[in-house]
Amino acid sequence: MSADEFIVVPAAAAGAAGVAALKQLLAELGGDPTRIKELVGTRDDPRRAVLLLSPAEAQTLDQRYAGRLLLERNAGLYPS
Amino acid sequence: MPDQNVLQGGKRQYLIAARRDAALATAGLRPFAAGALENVVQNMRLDIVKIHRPAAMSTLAASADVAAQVYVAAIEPDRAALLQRTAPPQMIVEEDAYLGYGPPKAVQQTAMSMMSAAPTEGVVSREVRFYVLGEDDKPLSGIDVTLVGDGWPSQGTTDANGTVKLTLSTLPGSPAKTLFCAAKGTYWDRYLTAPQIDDSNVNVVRLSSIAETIDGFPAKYRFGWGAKMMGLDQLPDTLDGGGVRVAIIDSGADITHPLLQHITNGIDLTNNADKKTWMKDVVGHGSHCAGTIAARSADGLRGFVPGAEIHVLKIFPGGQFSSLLDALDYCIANQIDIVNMSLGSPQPSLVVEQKLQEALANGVCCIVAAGNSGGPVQYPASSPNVLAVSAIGLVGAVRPETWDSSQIDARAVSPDGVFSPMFTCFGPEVGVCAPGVSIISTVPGGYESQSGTSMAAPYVSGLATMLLAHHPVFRMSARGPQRVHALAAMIRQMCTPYPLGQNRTGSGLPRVTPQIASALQPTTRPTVSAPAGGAVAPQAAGFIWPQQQPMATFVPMGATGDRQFLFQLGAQPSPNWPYGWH
Repeated sequence: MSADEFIVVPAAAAGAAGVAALKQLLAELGGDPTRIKELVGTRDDPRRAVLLLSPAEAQTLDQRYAGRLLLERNAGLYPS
Repeated sequence: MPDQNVLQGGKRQYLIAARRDAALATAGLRPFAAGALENVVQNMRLDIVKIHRPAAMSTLAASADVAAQVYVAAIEPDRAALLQRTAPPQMIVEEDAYLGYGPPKAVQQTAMSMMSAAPTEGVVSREVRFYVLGEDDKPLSGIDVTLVGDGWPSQGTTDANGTVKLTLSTLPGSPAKTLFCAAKGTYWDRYLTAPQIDDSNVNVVRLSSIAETIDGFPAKYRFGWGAKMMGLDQLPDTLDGGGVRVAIIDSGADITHPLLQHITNGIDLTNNADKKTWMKDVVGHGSHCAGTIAARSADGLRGFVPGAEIHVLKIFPGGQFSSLLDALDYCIANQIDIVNMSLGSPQPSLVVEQKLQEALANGVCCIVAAGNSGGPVQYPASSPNVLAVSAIGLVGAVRPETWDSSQIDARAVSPDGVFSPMFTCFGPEVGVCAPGVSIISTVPGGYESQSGTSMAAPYVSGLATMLLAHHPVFRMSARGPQRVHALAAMIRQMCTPYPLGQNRTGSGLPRVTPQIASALQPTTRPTVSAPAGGAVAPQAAGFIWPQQQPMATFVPMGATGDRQFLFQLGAQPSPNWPYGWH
């Protein structure tokens, strides 16, 4: 299974529910810490995470947490 | 008998795109990046009829690194056949066939084995030797040379003797199309169209150094053409941007450069092991931007605001949206006033957008390069929460026979010689334009001329810093979105509009006029310590604060093309950009 980097943040409009959703998602992945590439904040009060997910997993999580989390590919940036 | 007109078949339309299918990955090949495909197609000097770009990309779908654009080019059939035969495996060249109503006669499944570069009959391939010389006619090593015939480009690098052999593939009787010698260090590049190639003898190419073409360079080179056009040369050295914090999100900055040694703040967001390596710039891009903003010297190059407190936030090489988020977090936490982002992606990001909104709410003014793909404005320049900057050039400042000169479209040149280079991204999101062609600034080890909207954005960042530091309107202003809106509005009010299309130049080129210059005061403002909700100075120096609305929209007055602008506070914002200040 190929895994790509995805950024996950609480949706600003969701308020505390967004943070709770990210906390829940991190807990789900807790058994496999290698899939959390970067965590900003703490597991109890997460602000942002970069996760290693397959595209199919990303789609599933995106639908499950719709409205509470923003999940998108960690795309490359270029000098312009 | 009248003159005979022999009818012949003309050009036909072909589609050129990057291959992205699974077979490519199976073959162990990486697809073309968007910028790489752009460069290749541009070098081919094809007659591009149209560029299809994806209107919107799913943030979960294909990687933004992969070229998704499709070029429609008008090509002579025999040249197209040559291109098809010699195309690299990552490239698709196929006829833009007419669609029928029935099933196709045959669906061609192109196997990977059929796509390898294999010149066949009807192609003339010959070896050509080049000898590249520099100052005092000494051979130059390490120069990348690209030769284009009718097939795909042939590339090589000069050896220690300054020589390189390339293979020129053409149709019978057809000449070479272009020859490009990339600049190295303080040399100008050389871009020749229809070069007279001699097969039997070595072909000598002489490159000119910047010092050969500009008197007193670099010791007495104070202002480039861009700084002069924006009026920086009219300002005293006491106006230096002191008291304002500026972040440069880029590839780092080489502070061993004599003109950048005063920069002491930064963080390397690409290196968890050592955050202090921000002062090493292996790309050169960030050092160039830093020089335009803040180069400091007694007689040599002067950046816009050498007294500003510069923070170098390194995210290149390898920058991703996550590193940009880290950098913006730094800006918010450290109360940065101005952020220069000479970067972009063809893919938008809701996550980054949230962060940009947060930055704006915290009074961080983000100034972003529009992009160099010659298409729609890239992200985050397309965000309504930033000021997007496109590039302009000046005909008189561009050396002939350089790549920069190939960017001049005669249809997009103003009477005073300002032109909109073909590479600049365009769209309604462009706020202003700034000098971005043949810009000389600092790089590790010396100086270099570079072109791009990356070079334009730092000029606007420098100007924004200058105004924030020295314009009385901002002296006691508190941080916050209102200050950012006012700053952007003032910059746009200072613009000279250009008849090059508003989508290409926005409000125009902001310039420090004598009136503005006389208003600037060489006093350090208490930037960071300003109390929240602190008073502002309404209507000071003739400037109206956009207090009634969280955003300011404005329109040029009259049709005379002069620089009069009216702020229409309270007017209905553009339906396309309901939340911002483009």
